[in-house]
Amino acid sequence: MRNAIWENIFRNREKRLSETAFALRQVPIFGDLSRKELREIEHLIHRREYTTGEVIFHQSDPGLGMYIIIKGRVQIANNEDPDNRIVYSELGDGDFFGDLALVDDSSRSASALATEETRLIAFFRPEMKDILTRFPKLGNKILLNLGKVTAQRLRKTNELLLEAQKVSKEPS
Amino acid sequence: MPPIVTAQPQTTTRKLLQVLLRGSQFIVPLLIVMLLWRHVAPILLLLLLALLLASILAPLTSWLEFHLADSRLLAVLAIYGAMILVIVTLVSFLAPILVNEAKSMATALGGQSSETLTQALKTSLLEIMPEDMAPMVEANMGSWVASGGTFLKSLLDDLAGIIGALVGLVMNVLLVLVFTFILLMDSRKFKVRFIRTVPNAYFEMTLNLLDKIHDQVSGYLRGQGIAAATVGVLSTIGLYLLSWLLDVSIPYAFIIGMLAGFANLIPFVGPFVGMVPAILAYLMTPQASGLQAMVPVAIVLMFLIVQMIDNFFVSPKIMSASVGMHPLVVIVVIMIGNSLMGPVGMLFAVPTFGVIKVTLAELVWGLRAYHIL
Repeated sequence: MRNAIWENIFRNREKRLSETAFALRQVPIFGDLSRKELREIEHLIHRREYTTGEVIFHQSDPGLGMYIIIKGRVQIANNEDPDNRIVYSELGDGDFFGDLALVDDSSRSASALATEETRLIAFFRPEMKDILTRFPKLGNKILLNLGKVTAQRLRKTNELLLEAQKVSKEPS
Repeated sequence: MPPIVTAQPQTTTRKLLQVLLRGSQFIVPLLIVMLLWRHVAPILLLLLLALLLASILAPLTSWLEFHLADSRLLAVLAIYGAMILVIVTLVSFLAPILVNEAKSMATALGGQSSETLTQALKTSLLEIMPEDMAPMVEANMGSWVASGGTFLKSLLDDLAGIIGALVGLVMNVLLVLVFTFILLMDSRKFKVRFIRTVPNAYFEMTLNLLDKIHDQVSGYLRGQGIAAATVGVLSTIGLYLLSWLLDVSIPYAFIIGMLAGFANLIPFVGPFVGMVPAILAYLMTPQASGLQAMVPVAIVLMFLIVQMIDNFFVSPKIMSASVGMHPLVVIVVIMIGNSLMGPVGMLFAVPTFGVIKVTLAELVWGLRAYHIL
């Protein structure tokens, strides 16, 4: 009985989160932010809609920030030419990409394009700088989370590299 | 391997409609503005001032909203309260000094004919110059006064123009404050709404450019403001210090200091705009210890030192390298400013050109980086 009451209360609280705030919370970078902090981020993000096949960004464009998929599918590929394209990954609802551009202004390493009608949230470096200046505590929280995500990816890459080295050393 | 997709062909009519719909949101208001330019221009100027003020106050407003008020309206009201308090304090402190100096300057200049003023200046010069140079002063005084009078007249015209513009601004301050209030309340919404109308293909580029232009322009304007304030304050302190150290009277130090600060917006010409009135003010004032030749020299030195402090310590720290301008460009820009808007145009020509230059530089960078150029 008690659990049901608490669950109901928490469900109601979750219900009050907007669709954007809910999507933001699914992303590890914003996962542990308070409602107030999420509301601040909500003021700063951009909502975009892409049609099937529309390019989100091109390889070698200056990187500006990250995208979170609210609904739809996105391909990360080496270029937009359908006859000469290597697809690196395909992402769906709740996935995010381009996050390293939040801290680094080097060029995009791949192109991103929508493979169906897609709704995205964009969170960019100027807004990140804005947060770091105005709300350093919140900015540090986001940067720390970004660091954790990057560390996890690095670990995974190291594991894959070790596996690849093992495979290459095994006598055929 | 995920399936490879291609862009779905859109019908030409749909594409055309999309482009027209997006474009019309800017083209229609732009056409209206162009048609009614004469009536719209003064309001645009006020809007521009409000934008500048809002961009200065926005970070503080957001900080207050997040940390203390939890309401944008309360944060903006708190800022306005503080701003009114600061303005009232400053006005009650500075206005009496300014009014007194302006009144005494008007009495000194207005009560005498040009012949009397010329005679007073000649007597002062003869007093501080060596005796063997007296015939030269006697012979050339007429032509000096003619050319000096023209310069002084243009200087006073400049001053009158600037003061006129300032009075006009004061009349519109209320409107600027209202615009600023609205911008502070809704600036984020304006930006997000504007960005929403930009096609996806140019979305990132537009945001990147807006950010870079905002950084550069606000940095440039902030730099100009800090440099002008530094020169103004240092010149005033310097003149008071000279009066005290040399035990002479250099009147209107406060007004001259402010003028030097404003004039600092005009490179190369600015320093002289403070220097010349200060020397004239000294020469035209009866001195208890008589006139001394070293005082004008000390005034020139003081203004040079202020310029050196600005050029070597202040400006390099606050000005972006990208706004550096060739002296020839500066002169041409000032002349264009003069022919467009007179003395006020001269004052604002270089800062305006600086803003345009920075904006264009970033625009070219953006178009190249995104492979459009």
